Amino acid sequence: MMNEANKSISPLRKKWRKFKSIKRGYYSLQVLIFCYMLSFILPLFAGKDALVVKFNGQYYFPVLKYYPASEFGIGSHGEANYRYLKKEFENRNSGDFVLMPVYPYGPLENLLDEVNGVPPTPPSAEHVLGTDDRARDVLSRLLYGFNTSLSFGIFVTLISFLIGTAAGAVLGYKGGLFDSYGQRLIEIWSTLPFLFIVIIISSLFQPDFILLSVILTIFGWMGISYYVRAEVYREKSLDYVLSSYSAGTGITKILFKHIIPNSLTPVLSFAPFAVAANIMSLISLDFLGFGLPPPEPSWGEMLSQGLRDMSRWWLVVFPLAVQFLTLLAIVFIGEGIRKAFDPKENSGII
Amino acid sequence: MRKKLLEIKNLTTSFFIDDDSGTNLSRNEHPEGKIKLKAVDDISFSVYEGEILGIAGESGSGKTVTAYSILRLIPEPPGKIESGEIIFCGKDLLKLSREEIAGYRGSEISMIFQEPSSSLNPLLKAGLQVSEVIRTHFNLSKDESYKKALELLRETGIPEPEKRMNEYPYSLSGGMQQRILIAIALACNPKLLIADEPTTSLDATIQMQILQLLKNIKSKRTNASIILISHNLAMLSEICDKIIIMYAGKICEIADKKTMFTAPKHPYTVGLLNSLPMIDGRIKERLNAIGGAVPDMLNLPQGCRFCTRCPDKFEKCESSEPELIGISEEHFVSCYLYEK
Repeated sequence: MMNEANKSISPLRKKWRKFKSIKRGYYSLQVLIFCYMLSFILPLFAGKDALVVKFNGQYYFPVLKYYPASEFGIGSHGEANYRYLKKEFENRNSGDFVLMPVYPYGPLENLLDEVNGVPPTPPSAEHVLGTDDRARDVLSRLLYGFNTSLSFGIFVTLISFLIGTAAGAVLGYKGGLFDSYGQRLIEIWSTLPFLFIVIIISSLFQPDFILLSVILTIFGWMGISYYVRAEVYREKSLDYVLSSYSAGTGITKILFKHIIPNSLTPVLSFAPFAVAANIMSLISLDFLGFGLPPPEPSWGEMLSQGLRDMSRWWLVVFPLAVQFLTLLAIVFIGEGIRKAFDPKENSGII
Repeated sequence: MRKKLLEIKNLTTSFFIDDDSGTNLSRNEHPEGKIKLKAVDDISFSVYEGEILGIAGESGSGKTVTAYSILRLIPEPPGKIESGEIIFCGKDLLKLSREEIAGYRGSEISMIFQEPSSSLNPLLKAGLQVSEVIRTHFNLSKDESYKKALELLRETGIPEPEKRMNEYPYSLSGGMQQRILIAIALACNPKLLIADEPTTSLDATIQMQILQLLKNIKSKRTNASIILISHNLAMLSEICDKIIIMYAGKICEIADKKTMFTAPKHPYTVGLLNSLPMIDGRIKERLNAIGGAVPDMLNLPQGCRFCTRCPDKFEKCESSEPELIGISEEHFVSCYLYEK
C-alpha cells in the first residue's frame, strides 16, 4: 500500500511545502495574489463609471462601454458624470437608477467642481484619503497605482531574469575565454550610469509602461546572470551531467533538461526581491518625474507632490503606507522562498 | 577463437595543466606555458566478447582516464587523447565525428559511475531518467519506453520497481540509485559496460549485491563485456576473468584472474597482493606495505616508474623503461626481470 506519507514527492514540491509552513511569507503571497487579481476588476469597486444604469426602461453598463452624456438626456459634453446622473435620477424618482461602484471616483478624474476648497483637499467623508493638487482622488489613484506598480515589477523581473538566465547559462556552460570576455562585457555594461541614461531617454521620448520596462530590463538583467552562471558552472561538473552525456544525450537537451532546472534556485529566491526593487525603481523615476506620463496613477508622482509641501500630509503618509505594505508583503514572500531553499535550514552547525 | 570486442593500441591521454608549483624543471614545456601530464602513457590491451576485465591500481594510476578515453569523455581542454587507437567492433572510436561517437554512447558502450547519489538528476523521477535514455536511442512512444524502463528496473532486482519508477533520487538508497544507474546503462543492450568504481561508495553488503548483479547481466546478455575499474583487488577477484594492474599511467601486468593471484610476476603486483589482509586461517604478523610513495606524475623517475620502490631493481631499471612483454599467451608483464 502506498500512502501519502511515504510517497516520494518532487524536490520542488517539498520546497513549496516548506514555503507554506512559513506562515508570514505564505499569507503575504495569498494576500498579494488576491489583491492583484482584484486589481484587474478594480473598476467594479472603484471608479467613475456606473456599473448599471436604468434609463427609460433600458439597461446600460457604462463600466463596459462608453456612452456620451446625451444618451441619458443630460446636456453636457463628453462622457456622462454618473455621480451627477445618480443624484438627478434620485431627484426625479422616475424608476430610473444608477448603480455606482462602492467608491465612485476614478483615478484620472478632475474633481475641481466637486471638492470643497482649493485642492489638494484633506481627507473628508467623500474623499477618504483626500485629493491631490489636481483634485484627483488619492484613494482611487493609490488603488489603480497598485496594479500598475505590481505589473511593472513582475513584467520587468520576468523579462530581465529571462535574459539574465540565458546569458548566465550560456557563459557558464561554454566557459573558457568566451566566459571571460562575456563577463567583462557584462561588467562594462553594468557600469553604465543607469539614471542618466533614463533621463536622456526620457527627454527624447515620452516614456510609457513599455519603454520604461525595456529600459529597466536592459539595465537590470546583469545581476541574476552572475548567479546563474556560477550555478551552471557548478552544476555542469556534477556526475549526473557526465552520466547523461555518457549515455548519448545531446548537449542542448542536457542544458535545458538537466543543468538549467537545477540552476534555478537563485532565480526563484531572488525574484521577489527583484520585483520589489523594480517597483522601487518605478516609484523613484516617477518621483523624479522621469517615470510614467502624467495622468497615469503613480505612487511616486503623488509622493513628490506631498514632499513639495509637507503640510499636505495625506499625500505623503498614504502613498508611503501603501508602498510600504506592498513592498513588505513582497519581501516576506522573498524571505519565505529563501528559507524554503536554504539547504542549511536544519543543520544548525554553523 | 574468441573475438576481440575492444582493442586499445598505444593509447596516450595527457592533460595540459598550469604550472603553479614552479619547482619541477624537467618537464615537457608546452607552448602556452602549460605542462603536460601524461595520465595514461602508451597502453595497449584488449577486451574479448563476454569477458569481465578488471582494471586495478592506486588513485592517479590512470584507470579512470583510460575508461573515459574509450568513450571520449575526456574534457578538452585541458585533456587530450594524444595518440593511439581504440578499436571497437572494427571501428576506431578516436576517428569518429562528435555525432558518431554520441551514437555509441549509451547504446553500444555505456558507463556506470562511482557516485550513484550524484549521478542522477535530483529533479527528475527515477523512471523518467531511465526512459529518457531509451528514447534517446530508440524511436519509442512514452508508454513503450516506460514499460521498457520498468522491465529494466525489474531486471536489476530493485524492490518494488513500479513504486521506484515514480520516486525521486533523494528517496532512494545508494544501492537502489546504483541499480537505477545500471538500468540506465543497460537500457540499450550495450556490447560493453564500463563500470568505474561502481561499489566504492556503497556499504559492504550492497557491494556484493551489485557485483552479483553485474555478473548476472553478463550471463544473461550474451557477449556483453564489462570493464570493471576498482582499487579493490578482492572485489575484482570476485568476478573478473582478467585483471590489468596499472601504475602511474602504465600497465604493469595483465593476467587472467587465477594467474594474477597465484603467480604474479611484476614486483608491484607482488607487493600489492602481499599488502592485502587474508582471511585464510593464517594470521600474518604484519601486512607488508610497499615502501615509498607513488611518484609525482609530473616528475617521474627515469627508467621504470616503479624503480624507486622496487625491491628487485637493477641498473637497467633506472635507465630505460621496460616494454610490456608476454610470458605466456595471456600473461603480460612490463619488467626487465622477465626479459628473455
